[in-house]
Amino acid sequence: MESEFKLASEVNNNCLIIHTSGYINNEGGEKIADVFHHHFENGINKIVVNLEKSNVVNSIGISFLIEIIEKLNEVGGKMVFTNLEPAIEKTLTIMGLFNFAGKEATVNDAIKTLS
Amino acid sequence: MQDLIDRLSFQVHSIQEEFESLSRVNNIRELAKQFMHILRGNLLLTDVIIYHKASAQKPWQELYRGNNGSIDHLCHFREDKALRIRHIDDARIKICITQPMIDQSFFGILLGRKLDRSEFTDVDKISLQIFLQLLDNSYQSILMRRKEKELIFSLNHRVLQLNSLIDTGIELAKLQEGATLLNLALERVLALTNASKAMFRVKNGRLVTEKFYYPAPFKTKFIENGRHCISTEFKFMEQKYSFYLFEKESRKGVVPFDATDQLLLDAFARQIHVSLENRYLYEQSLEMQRIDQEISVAGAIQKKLIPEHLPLIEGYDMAGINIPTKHVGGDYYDCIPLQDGRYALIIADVSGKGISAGLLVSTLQASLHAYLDGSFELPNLAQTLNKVIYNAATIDKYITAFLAILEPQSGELESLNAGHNPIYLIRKNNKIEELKTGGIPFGMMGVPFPYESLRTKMNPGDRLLLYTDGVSEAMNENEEEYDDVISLSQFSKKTNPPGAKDFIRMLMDDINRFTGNIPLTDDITALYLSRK
Repeated sequence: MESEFKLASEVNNNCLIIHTSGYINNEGGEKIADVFHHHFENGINKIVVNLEKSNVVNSIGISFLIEIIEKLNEVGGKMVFTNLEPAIEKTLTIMGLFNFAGKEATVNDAIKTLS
Repeated sequence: MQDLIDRLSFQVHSIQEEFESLSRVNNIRELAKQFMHILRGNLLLTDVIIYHKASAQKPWQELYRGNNGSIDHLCHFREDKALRIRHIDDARIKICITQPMIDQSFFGILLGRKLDRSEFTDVDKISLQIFLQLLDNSYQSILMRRKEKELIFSLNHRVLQLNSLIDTGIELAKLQEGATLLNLALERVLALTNASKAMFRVKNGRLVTEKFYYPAPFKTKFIENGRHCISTEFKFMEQKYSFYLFEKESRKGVVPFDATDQLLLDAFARQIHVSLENRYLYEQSLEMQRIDQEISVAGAIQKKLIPEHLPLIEGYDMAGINIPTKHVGGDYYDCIPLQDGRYALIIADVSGKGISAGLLVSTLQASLHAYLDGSFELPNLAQTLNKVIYNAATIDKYITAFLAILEPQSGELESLNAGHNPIYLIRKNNKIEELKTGGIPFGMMGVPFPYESLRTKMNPGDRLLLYTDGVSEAMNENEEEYDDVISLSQFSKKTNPPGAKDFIRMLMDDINRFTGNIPLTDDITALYLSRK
């Protein structure tokens, strides 16, 4: 599992897909938010966050994710998390993210859900 | 009058609706937008521009501009503690409002002229006061919701911390590999305390035996500086385990770690300590199980050294017993038929018990069988055995033994006592001869020792009792020894059943009666031979 934060993104089926690896902390959260805002301003409001290579997230990273979810909710958009390792899934559940965001096993499943 | 009542009634109704719409907004930008619509709709204005500043020292931020065009009237705002409404003589802006809010922030509102170019009436001024009150209430509502969110987030984070502490404890208890265990705990505590990086180090004295960084290696000068860093450590098995967390993150930059962070780090370190101890104890118990199994196997092998059946010697009756106190005993007896028709009788006792004693018994038995095959002189055989055992044993180990060669037809008996307790030859008339002639125990000295043997004769009705000190020194609850109280020689004199097995059984019964419930502390071994 990668430790230093890295991010890759693509747009598929009008969905922004963000692949992360490493520690989602302040720096990681900011990078995710930057990519999100760039595409959000261009009208994309469906986001898939693939956490396959991230198994550690802190509350600062989570606060960025919550802000993105709130912005999406305001415009009827949606965020879906995929490839969740059990510990990170539990973290996001306890922090209440799945009250407003979805989760799927794979990126393809998420794209189908959002389509 | 009716017209005024209708207008006021309409405005009260619209104010209610507007308050509801304002109270639904989630952020101040949205609040400004809604508020602008309320002002323009009710007061019929050309322009409305709304600014906000987080505190008196911060710059004004434009939240909403109703019409296009650059209008800069910031100089008209006055950040006082009270609401200020100023009328301005300007082509486009007529009123400038500075409204202090509950969180020390300010709203700055610029109102353009009325669409019909008329002056602001008293009703407009009253309405404006009411709308500004609505703005204040709605802003407080946003702040309340924000605080509520922060509180929920903080509570969830606390739940997460507790949950993670429990989960990590369970995962650590699964006895994972050492390094994995430490990595897992470090990652968890790093995330829960919002540390930006972490490391652990294991040192044995000055030597660093293990080091792990998360998320990536970094220079340890941070540790020396001690700023924005918390640490904890413990010692286990001569190794010092140190854990460090660096730079607590917040959305506004690095902040100091708090007491809860230190508590969490200490708690995780304690979990690791306990887990390492448990893993060590578990491995020890596995090792003990393995040793026990090996001892059982060694005990089974040693039992095979003690003869299951003694040879039948015509005109004689013989029986023996060996009760080890551990799986592997240090006593040995045997009766080995020789090629010339004679028999070698042996009893031996290794100093100490357990595996090492068992190994020496095995060496003695193998040597005896090897050297008894050819022709030999008993003192020479003793010298050879002394040398063999000396070379095989550690300095604290030796063997006391009694060897005797019996020519069964004549009853001639040549004996050698190598430091063993006296062997009783009980004559038919109940007189006892103690067979002591011999020398030092085998393996005691590495130099050739001049062993001597004793020649005597077993006549019909004579009996021979070979025993180890486990018999004579068996203890009762008063810590008295059997031979001191009962006297083995006296027992042998008065106990003369028809069979050798009966003698052994009666001897064991007598010892058991004497010792009562006191467990045996030494192996018990005896060999009894009687000539019919």
